[in-house]
Amino acid sequence: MSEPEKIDHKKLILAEGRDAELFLVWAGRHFRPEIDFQVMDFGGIKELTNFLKLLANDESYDNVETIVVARDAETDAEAAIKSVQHSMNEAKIPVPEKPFEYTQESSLKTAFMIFPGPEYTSGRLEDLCLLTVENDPLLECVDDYLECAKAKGERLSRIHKSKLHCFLAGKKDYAGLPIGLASRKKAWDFDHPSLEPFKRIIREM
Amino acid sequence: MITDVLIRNFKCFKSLTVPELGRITLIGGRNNVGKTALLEALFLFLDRARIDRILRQYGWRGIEGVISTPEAMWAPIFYDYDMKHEIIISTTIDGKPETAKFSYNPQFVPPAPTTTPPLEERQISTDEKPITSFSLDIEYCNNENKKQISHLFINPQGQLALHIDYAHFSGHSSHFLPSKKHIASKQTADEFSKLAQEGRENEAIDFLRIIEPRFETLKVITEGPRSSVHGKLEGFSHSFPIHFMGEGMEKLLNLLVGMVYSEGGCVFVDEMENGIHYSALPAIWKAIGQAVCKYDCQIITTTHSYECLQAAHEGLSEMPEDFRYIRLHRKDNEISAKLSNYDMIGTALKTNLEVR
Repeated sequence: MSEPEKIDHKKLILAEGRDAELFLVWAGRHFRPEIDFQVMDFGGIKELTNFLKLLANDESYDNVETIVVARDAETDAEAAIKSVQHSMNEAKIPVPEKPFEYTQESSLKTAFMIFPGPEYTSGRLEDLCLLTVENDPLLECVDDYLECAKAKGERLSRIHKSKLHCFLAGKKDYAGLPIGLASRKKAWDFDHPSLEPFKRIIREM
Repeated sequence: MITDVLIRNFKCFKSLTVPELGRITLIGGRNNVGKTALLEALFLFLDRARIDRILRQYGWRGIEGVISTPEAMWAPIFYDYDMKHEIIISTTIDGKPETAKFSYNPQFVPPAPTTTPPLEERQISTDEKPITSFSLDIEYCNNENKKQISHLFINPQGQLALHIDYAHFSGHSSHFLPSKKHIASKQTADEFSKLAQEGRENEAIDFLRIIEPRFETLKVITEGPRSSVHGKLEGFSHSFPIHFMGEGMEKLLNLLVGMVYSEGGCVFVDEMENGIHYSALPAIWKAIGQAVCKYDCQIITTTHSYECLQAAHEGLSEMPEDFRYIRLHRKDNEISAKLSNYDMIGTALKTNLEVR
């Protein structure tokens, strides 16, 4: 087991799962080269309330200036927003009214971001990653391949994952990598306009 | 069961509030943040009948002796060694508040000797003044306004003495297992003898088998003035003193007899993980969980170990509502207690978050 993680920065991004954590580490470094922030994995969405309460119990918590929570919209962005707001409220930290907006109480500033972005009513980090490479000609092959798989009787219930991994499999440098490690190898275009809302929040931490 | 605690002017605590202790409470925090002091405060609160209640705590800290001055004997339990401010330990036990106050009294008048002088000496000088001494005045008070007032003082023979004005002893028994010092073998032997006389020695054997499955028997052996518990292992013809079998074995035996004889009370364990291999900890915690229910007692223990916390979480999975973790923090010389419940610690372990 690796050493347990401590709060060691004043600006925190809390990500849902290891892939989102690593994606935000590498996207964050691109957006905020001073790297004065820490990305932590809060586990699954059911753990968010407890994780926020644990942070508030930490001896370094008084030094924390900014907390940004990031999670998937999944099938219902509105439900995801309410869920994050509920967790923040339970943990007694400032609750922003909307995603991608900061709110501040005393010295603590908070925000939350919902993947794939503010314009979407559903979706996940995988969708956002694929948006950043939307002009890559390889996506045509991906679509063709998945259509072919469906035609052969495959029931692709997690199409976002199938599409993303199919795309990575077609790239010589990224084949077999999960989102997080692919992010490190710059598989995604961190300057793509779809990342603008995320970039703004991270720059304003 | 002790639930809420308020401590003032005790050792490192100027003021500390600890809410919602559970039937099984682990206390974490950095070195010298007051984990052991919190156990000592609570044990002092319950340990009401012993004349050496403070001095034996020094012994557990490895202090071999103190001179009989108030500064040496009592100042160390006061915040910043300042005996001008009284120590207050308030708790809620079984839903009822109780408070203990400890204050230094440099003008204590010891009670007159109870022996009657010869008839010819029965003459009282009109200018005689009472001889004053110094005492540690101790007052216990509960919500029914029942009080116990006692005085620990040095008598004219230079010995530590206890005078009780009003007696209302607590019905809450308790045991303390220090981390640095072995509990005297005789005490272990006495308590195990009691257990054996009740025909319950198998309860101890079963408990010890968690870390040593070869245990066959346990018995008390007296050699001269000394008694000690000996255990026999499968495959050996002789039995061995339990304290020769390792720190963990002795600790578990003391823990078991402590739980058995702390019915309605509390067992305090300083550094639970010491002497115990990590792989045995989940089973030990499971057995502790069963034992606290069976013997109706409470366990409060300190730990430095993530593995111990992980093991407690695993071992106590069937009684999550009884689990608490208290982390002590120091900021600007003020110590505070932060509470986590079973689910919160589950999240910390799952996400590998530092909570020690």
